[in-house]
Amino acid sequence: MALIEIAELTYRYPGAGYPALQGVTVAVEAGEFVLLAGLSGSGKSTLLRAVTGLIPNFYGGEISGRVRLAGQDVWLARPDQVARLAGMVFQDPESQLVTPVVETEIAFGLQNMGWGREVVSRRVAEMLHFFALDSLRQAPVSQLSGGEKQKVALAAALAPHPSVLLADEPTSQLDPVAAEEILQLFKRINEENGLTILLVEQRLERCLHLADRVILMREGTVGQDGRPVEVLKNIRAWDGLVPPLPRVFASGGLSPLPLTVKEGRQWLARLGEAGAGSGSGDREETAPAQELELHHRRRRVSWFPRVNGLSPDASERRGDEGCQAEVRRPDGDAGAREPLVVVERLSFTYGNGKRVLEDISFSLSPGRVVAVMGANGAGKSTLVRHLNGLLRPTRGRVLVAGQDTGQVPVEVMAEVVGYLPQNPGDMLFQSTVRAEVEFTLRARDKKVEPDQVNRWLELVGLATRAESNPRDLGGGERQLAALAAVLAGDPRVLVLDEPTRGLDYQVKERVGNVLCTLAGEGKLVLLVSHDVEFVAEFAEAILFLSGGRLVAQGPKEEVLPEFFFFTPQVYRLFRGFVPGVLTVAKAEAELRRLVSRAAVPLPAVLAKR
Amino acid sequence: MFAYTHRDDFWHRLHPASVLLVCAGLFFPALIFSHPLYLLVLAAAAVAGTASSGGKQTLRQLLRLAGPLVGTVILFNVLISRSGQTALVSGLPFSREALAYGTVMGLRLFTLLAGWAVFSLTVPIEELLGHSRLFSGRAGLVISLGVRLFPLLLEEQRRITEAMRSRGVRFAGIPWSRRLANSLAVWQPLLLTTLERSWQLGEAMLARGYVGGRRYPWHELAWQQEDKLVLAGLAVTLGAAIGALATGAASFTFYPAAESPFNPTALRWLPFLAAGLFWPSLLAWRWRYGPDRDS
Repeated sequence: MALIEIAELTYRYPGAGYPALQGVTVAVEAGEFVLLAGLSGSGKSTLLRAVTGLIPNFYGGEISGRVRLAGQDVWLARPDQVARLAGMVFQDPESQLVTPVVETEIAFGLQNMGWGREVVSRRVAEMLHFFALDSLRQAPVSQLSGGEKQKVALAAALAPHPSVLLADEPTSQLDPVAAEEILQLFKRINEENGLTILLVEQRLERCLHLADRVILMREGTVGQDGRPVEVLKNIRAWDGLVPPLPRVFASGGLSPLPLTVKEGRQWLARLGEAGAGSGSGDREETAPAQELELHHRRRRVSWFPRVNGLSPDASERRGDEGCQAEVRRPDGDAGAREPLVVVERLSFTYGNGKRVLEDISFSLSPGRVVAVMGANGAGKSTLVRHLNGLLRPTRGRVLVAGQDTGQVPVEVMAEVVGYLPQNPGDMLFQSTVRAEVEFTLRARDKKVEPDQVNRWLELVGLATRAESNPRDLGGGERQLAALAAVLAGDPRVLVLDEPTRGLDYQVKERVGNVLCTLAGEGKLVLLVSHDVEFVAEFAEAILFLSGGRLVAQGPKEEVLPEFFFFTPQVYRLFRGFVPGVLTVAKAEAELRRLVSRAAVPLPAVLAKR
Repeated sequence: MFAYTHRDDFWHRLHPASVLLVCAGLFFPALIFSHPLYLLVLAAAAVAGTASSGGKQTLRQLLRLAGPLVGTVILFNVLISRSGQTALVSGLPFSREALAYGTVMGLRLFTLLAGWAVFSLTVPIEELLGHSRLFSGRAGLVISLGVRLFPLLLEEQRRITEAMRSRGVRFAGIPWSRRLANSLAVWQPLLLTTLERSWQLGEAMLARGYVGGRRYPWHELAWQQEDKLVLAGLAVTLGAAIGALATGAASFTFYPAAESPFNPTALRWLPFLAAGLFWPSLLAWRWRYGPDRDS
């Protein structure tokens, strides 16, 4: 008997016009590590909640079918009975921690289940030790980093010794290092304890290789189900979902597709040997038969749909090197332009004496996308909040369009700097997306011109959702609605704090293309991001912070290769083979070049594997 | 702001019930007493308690929060009260008595806020409630979450206001009608975000087996030597407070003409009250800086 049995599950949220899940039948065996993948709104998180009984017991709605966990019907079981069997970790570390202190947080679930003091103390101690949280036993959860909070949430979920661990995008708000640590913990728990894991993730490059099995959700149904390599074979079914590494090899027509950088590099090594063995040097030509095969493969597969409202081929204009190649500086040489943002010896200390920024200097010209990167707590958000005067420097100064942001009110700086906070919900309150855009104009005593409003809505691809309530939109569209509201002020500088948090590849592409278009129109786009893949794809330059200091700045081609972990998958793939490969398009081109140089027929190369 | 934070200090060594009693020693006299000097001592003791339990930063936050409220109370009383006889400024209908009464009300409010700050900083409320049969179930958790929601709401409000200001929404230098409309622009997302957060929190609690029954505390709350010292001080406070109430020393007449606050008979309980009220803060400072700590 399977540990989790889901049969013919159909579910509709209260008031929804269509079902979120439709006839889902899945069985998960004990000890499996299952990755639930799919585009936003495909039903991944809904399925996870159905396994815990939160759907329908907490959410309500119409449901049919059956969900059994260890033989128990979860809809009929009490929450404490289900919690003994299934631990759940949610996406937002802030909203799932119930008590103020680490140890009481871990004890919370155990207390609910009625465990005695001795058992609770023992299990709390064990979890603190396993997750290396001993030193934080009495720490307030509000003062933990994002990674630590997720570790606490994980410890709390595991303290009752459940049979299955369910996790809903647990790394979406973490920097690459913290995310890797959390995912490795999942793998370790799975391997060392045989715990069944159901993991929902958007950034598959982080976890595809960890899973025993992938369930690909599509519009509320199970689209694909199998081992990662097998599921990847049908790669066209993965539109908008394929992580960079397999995407690159798929474009080269290679199969089976690698799941890890290590496997990919083994491919490259064999291709390299084959090329060198041919003695053909830099020859471009290939054998006719192979040429035919390659010609077939060279057709650029677009994994993402066209973006509504963008110029017809914005994603293609981006070029192999990211959006700077063809889009930026349409009106001449930006190098000759005056900098739009100048930061001079900026230091900042919070009122509690905590120094967050130390002696930071840089300047930025318009017409480019610049990323601010660094680990959680490095000072990224603090830095960008100086750009519109939300924070005033303790030392040094920040000039934007010649105005000292420390001297000008935020409301005045808003004419020049548009700021999109981490949580777009902080600024959305109107009943329609259109009204949100109009509100920005009215707040500045500007005339509301429908054509102008439509232009911003079209730019972000929300023209068809103009009359929707912004809070009814999915995470990505909500982000774009907030972006439209900010853009309505027509700022010269656009600051975005973690704009791709929790978005799938498809929506990220959409956001990235919008940013490139804006940079192409001469705006300076400054984005704070943990998402190395996104930054490598869309940014032109990088400011890298560590411990409040600017430890690296410059073009991404110079900065990213300096790092070991903060690099995109394709860079790690080609490191040592081809220098400076940062974008998927460039990686695809390089791979095709390597394949074409292989003297022996491709099947022979592949057979060596 | 004013969220419980565990620290290795005197206040956090105390049994939560001791802290509760110390705060009650500030709360109830502040509500009952009306003599300005008694209330001044209560407010000063509350400042000392806040500073010794939460540090200068907390004290600054308290002053920032309470300052405008106290100022409003004083101003409001001066403007609306017509019961006083002594003119504050000749020719204007404002009286010194109204100012004195407003100040006493402000001190009372300040003391209550400071007492609350000390309590919320030093007492893990769900632990305390867990030890009470009455509050160990759903009611206790609701209180605990409510207490924690307050600082979260303040943080949300700060973020949303920042987002709105960044969008060009003004909150100053504009007519009242627009200021009100713009304030609504903050409150609406605040309400919506708070509801979303509450939903997420409820979901997380249910996923961890919360069904609203009695939850057993898993920490033994031990009484320390420090508790005995604090309770001794509280006994002095209690004695002085009862004495002041019984003899009417803590009462004060403001209207129509305010009496002198420096009546020696009325002040005879004040040193005892002050000694009892300042005692925990003195112990806390001794614990932090005293010779035992150095060794």
